[in-house]
Amino acid sequence: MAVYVLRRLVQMVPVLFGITLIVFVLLRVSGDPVVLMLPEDAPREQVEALRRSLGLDRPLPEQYAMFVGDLLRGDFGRSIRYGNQDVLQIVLERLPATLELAAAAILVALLISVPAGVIAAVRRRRWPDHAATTFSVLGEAMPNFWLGIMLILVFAVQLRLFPVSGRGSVANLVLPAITLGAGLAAVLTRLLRSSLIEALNQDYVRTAHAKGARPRVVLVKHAMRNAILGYLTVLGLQMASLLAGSVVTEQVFAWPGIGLLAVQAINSRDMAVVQAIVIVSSLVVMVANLVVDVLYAVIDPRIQYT
Amino acid sequence: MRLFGRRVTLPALLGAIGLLAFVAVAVLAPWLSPHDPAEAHLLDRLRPPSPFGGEPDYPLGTDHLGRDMLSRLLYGSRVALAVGFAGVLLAATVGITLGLVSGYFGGSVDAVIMRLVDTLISIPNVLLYLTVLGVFGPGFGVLVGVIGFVNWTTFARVVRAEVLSVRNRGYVEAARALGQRTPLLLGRHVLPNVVGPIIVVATLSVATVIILEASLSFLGLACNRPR
Repeated sequence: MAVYVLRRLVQMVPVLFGITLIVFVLLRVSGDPVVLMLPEDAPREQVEALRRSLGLDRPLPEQYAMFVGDLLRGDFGRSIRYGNQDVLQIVLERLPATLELAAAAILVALLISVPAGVIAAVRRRRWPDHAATTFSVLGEAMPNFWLGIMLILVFAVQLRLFPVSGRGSVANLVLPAITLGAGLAAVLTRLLRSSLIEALNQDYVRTAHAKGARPRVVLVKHAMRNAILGYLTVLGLQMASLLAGSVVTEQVFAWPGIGLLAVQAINSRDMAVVQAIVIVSSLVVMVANLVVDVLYAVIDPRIQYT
Repeated sequence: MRLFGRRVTLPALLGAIGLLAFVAVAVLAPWLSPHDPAEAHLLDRLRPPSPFGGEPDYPLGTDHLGRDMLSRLLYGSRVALAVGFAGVLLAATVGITLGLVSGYFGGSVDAVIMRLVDTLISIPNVLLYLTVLGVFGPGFGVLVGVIGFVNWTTFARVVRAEVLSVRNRGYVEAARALGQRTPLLLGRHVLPNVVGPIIVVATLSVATVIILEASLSFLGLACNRPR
């Protein structure tokens, strides 16, 4: 297991290089940062001096090497908006809010999709199944900013049950978590339904019934344990879209995470912040996928990593 | 149920009707719209939809510049459809080509392309869109370009997996033995046999891309609003 985890960590290195390369190319295409940093009427010599001091007069491969070197030392650059602050620090300060929202959204998705998927699979082709399937189609078709605005309109403005926006108490978390988790819940419900139906048709389920195991035990111990693997895979794969969705959700609810920060940074052309967010959130996605793969082995003793 | 000699299920029929209606609205927008979507009626700003006390002249109300919301909605469907189809077309072209190459040649070409795929799917897509749109500025062309740039990965993976299962079949080997040139071989013998999954991916992609375009518009970064 340790060897496997280590190998996966090593495999992450080229992907990380790829991400830095994409970020680097995009930011170099974005234009001359010096123009943004100096007043328009700055004398030529001053512009040249700043370019030299930033290393912008060197060839591009050398600039890329310098860029990666800085990243490795934890130097992600300085923000031009937040008073020259260290960018990595700004992003890491905001990261917990996003992770909190993502975790709550996953919880919402689990709370909806597990019962809905199970009921749909057990009561197949009856009304609970149709209800669950309809819900899952709706959930996938709905843009989450629209859902968020509607939730605010009904539960915050009309019924005054939850705050409209911001972060703080658990009540603040409810609406954003539902907004972000709904799409995931829809995907997972559909998936759990189909993989559970498949598992319920297996021979071992019939055998378990035949030997007189209680239906509940058959469902949970025999069918669920086998159906849950695909469920977990997709949950891991959805981490990237969860973080992507949180950019929009944070915007709707003024949730102070890295998604909101990303939009603000783009609008103020604070590219150092943008690149740090891209790199940090990609890292989060990769680590989440690794955790899911390790969880496989915990759940399914047939899977062994060497 | 049978339609034009084919068996049709009710959900499929409803889906087809919905899609046709959507396309019809997009095509017929100029004739269906009660107003010019860009025309500002400054005296009629922020009117509520007519069921909520607005005037019948503006069925869905007006925005902060007094532009008719219904007309803007109808015209907006054109942008959504255009971005959806053009973006997926670009993504499919790039993804199918790279997937064919990756699956057929294998080796280091395959390794490089697949690492690139791994890289792109590790970045949460909205952040990638934000960065690219932030760099190049919003606009239709940029939007289609970036959707192609990000979404080809699914096509490449699916096509590659299919090619791997097809590449050593008898008919491919026969074509190879006859000395058919590789591009022709890929296009004529491999591609037609992997087309099924491509259609599935493309269909689903159009839907996701349309929602994505809506999200980016919400963030103010997709297309320039009609002025």
